[in-house]
Amino acid sequence: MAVLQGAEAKLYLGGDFYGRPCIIKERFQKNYRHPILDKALTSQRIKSEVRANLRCRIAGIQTPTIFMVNFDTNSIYMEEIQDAVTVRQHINTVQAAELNPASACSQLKPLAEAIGRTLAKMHTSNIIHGDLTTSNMLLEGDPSELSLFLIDFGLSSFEASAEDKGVDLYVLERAFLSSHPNSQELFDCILAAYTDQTQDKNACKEVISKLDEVRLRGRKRTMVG
Amino acid sequence: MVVAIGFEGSANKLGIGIVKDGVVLSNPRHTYITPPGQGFLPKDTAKHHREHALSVLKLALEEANIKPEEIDVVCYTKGPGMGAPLVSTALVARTVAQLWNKPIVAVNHCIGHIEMGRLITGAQNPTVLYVSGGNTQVIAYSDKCYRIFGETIDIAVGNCLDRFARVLKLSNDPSPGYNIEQLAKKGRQYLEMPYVVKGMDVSFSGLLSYIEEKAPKLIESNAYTPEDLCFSLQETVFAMLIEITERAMAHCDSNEVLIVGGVGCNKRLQEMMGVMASERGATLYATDERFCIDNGAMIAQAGWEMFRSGVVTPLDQTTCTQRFRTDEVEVTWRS
Amino acid sequence: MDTAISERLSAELRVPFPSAWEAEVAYNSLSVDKEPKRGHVHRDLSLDGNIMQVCFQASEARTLRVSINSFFEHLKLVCETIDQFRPL
Repeated sequence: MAVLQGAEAKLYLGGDFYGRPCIIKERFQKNYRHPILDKALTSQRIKSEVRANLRCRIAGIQTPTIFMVNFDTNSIYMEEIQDAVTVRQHINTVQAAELNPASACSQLKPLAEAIGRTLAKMHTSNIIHGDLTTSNMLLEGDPSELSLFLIDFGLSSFEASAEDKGVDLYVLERAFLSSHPNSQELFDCILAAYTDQTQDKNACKEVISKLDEVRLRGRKRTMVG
Repeated sequence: MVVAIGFEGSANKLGIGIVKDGVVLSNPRHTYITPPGQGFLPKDTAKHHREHALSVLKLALEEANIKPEEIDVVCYTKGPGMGAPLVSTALVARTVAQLWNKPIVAVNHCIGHIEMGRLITGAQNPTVLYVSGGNTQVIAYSDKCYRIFGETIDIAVGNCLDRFARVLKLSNDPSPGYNIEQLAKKGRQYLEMPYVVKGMDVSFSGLLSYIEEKAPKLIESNAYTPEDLCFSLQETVFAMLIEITERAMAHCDSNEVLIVGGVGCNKRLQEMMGVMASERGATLYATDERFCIDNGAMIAQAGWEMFRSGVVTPLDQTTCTQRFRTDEVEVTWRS
Repeated sequence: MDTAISERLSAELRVPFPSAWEAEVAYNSLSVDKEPKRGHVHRDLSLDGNIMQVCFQASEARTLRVSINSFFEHLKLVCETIDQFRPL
């Protein structure tokens, strides 16, 4: 069984759950933090992950099916999305193969729009992902088919506020721009599709203005010391 | 051989340091300390800097045993920081640069911390946690830029600790954070409080309001001691910082981590970071209070790197700015 | 005071230095920083041999006073720096 170690969990790949391909995501103890805090965070994050995963499916967003949770080992057993790449890998592949940034961007535009539509659905259902990055989005099968899965809901929450949604988009923007150089245009495509897809235009406006506000908190803050 | 002198005065420390090809020759500093329960205000801090700048400068030259004519470049903090203290310090830098006929380099304060940390520890390409009274950022270098991967979306961690120290009326001598650290060592009972991490960003303002409101009642009812609360606050905010640093390291596939900034000399923060680093097979680099806390040598060191790569700031452009992002500077001195 | 009044408050300073060179050093150090926008004070520095001339214009006595005070604090610092660190 192959093991991948992430920042807070080990992933055991290639398992089998009654005949279905399965991965086990085991949150391990973080020895740097106080045991009470560690226990509280671990159990909270497992619960958040399972809840948001289910809520996303209800909202029509693809996520890996969760088979089972073992609270004794802090493990979630879930469907292994086979033949998948992360959006991060895919963008890197396209950008590496296409030396002209403008044409890489136009190739990736449909993907950006698909991401924007998916996030609009997610936020309409008041699901805050909490850790949106291009590593937490998978493309199943041929990337051009845009079969997008969202994963890693450990930091998720269920909130209706524009502030939380704005911060969610801000987190993605930061992760996007720091992992993919020259990608502001792509992120703008995500936002455009997000705005377009969200039915409640007023609520959406509020989210976008919160996003602008949070951006300024970083830019305009006077930093002393 | 290049000798650089650096002037730092962006917050309540006035520091002047001299660096000669990566060797710190002198680094005296004078700190403006306010009474318990009070923070430092720009006007009074600027006055402090004006009153001490020249004696600290004399000391820097004497300790380094350097004559003005041996200096090659005058470096000063352009920002970010408090306007009035920055300007007072810059005035001295501009004036001596003219008197001694030396070029000037304007330095970003945050980059000063990073370059000093790299110099002192020998870290090559670390993920940097920069934590101080005004800043909380997780930074990594790529493509001629110190990119900010994560940061606070409201107040800085040092500000959160300082403001809690004011609630407890702790002394500001040598610093509120230091006194919290000492009390925290005697804390036993852990109080759970809001823990807010969003991706690689953190938020402390909710946590601060929570503890500001709860602390007086908890202490009065003898449920928790001030020591317990300092301990719990540190455990919580530091865990948040380590979590986002680890996430950035995983993201960048990095195996070095460097802590800089005033909060970076906290031993418990260093210890927690050390545990995280060793569990992922990474190396922790940290410095002590001589170099973590704002100082002049860090400005000299960053300016020295910039100067060697050809950067010079024309005198009429040696302005100061309260807002100056780490990622605004083109890092011309690294490949 | 009404800011709409076209007649603005003004103050002029003439600061003599021992030589034109010192006046120029002080002028170069002090002319870099602009007056803060929110004060609505206009400050003009110029040199005439060993004399530095400063002209302030403001719409309020309070902001004018703040600007002049701050200028004197900075001037004092620069003069002391020149005195103590001039080349021998």
